[in-house]
Amino acid sequence: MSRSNVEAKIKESSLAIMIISLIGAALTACAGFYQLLSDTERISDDYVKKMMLKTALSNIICSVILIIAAAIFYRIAKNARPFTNGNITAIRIIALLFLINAVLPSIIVGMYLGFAKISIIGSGSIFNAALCFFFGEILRYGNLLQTESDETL
Amino acid sequence: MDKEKLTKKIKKLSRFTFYAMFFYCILNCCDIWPDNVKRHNVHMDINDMPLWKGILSIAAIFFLVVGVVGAFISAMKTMSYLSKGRTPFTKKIANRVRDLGIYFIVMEIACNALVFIGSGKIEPDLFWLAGLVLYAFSVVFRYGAKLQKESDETL
Repeated sequence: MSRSNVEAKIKESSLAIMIISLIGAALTACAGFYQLLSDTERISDDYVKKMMLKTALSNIICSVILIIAAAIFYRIAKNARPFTNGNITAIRIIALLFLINAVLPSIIVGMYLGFAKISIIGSGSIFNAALCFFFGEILRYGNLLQTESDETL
Repeated sequence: MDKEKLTKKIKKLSRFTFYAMFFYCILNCCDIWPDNVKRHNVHMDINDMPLWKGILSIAAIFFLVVGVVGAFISAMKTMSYLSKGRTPFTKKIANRVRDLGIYFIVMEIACNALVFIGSGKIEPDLFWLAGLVLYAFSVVFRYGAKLQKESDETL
């Protein structure tokens, strides 16, 4: 496959993922705000109420992550250049948000319910954060190669 | 940071991720990881089930196991290759990332099919999106491989 073919494929796939990410972000945000603003007075169990709050916060953070992901894919679809400083920063912000998602909702709910009742850290989110950080480093390497290639040309 | 330093850093990180994944897998197998991952309890009685549902359930379980094991092996192999290789941008890595994405999608479809057969509900997770993102990134890796080839040829 030639370089122009790969660039065309990058543009197509990034555009598709951008649209899907935006739809996902809108749905997740709706779910999060619905849970946050819904009438929880009917629910008598305090534990269930607070777990709903935790899920709502988690959904809102996830929607922000998806919006940033959509922004990354929009930039890639526009220029067919995945290795840019802006994308590296965005990936790092996503890693940071995953870390926040792993800890913040649990801490907020833990303050109400006590930390013995819930798992404090969401290991899945920490794993995602580590992967994003790792991927950021690979993008940095790609950025060096891209700069070299541009300078050669 | 220059290329050599960055390559060393990537190697170290991938080695660390490889061992972390191995450790995570063992803890999950022993069910002692304090996670807040959503768990599905699907109760199915083979005697009350039509034949087509039974066959679909067995197929869904098969694909779920293939998806989970395949994704794990593919991720471990990618990390192992990254910790040894000279560059992260090779066709091999691009293919492995693409395979990982496909396994994620298979896993999500099989899991949802199983939950749907068992409880009549659909509860999608974000694995399908992760699969699509990985597929898109496999093309990025292919582009990186082209840049790497150019860089090697220039040197």
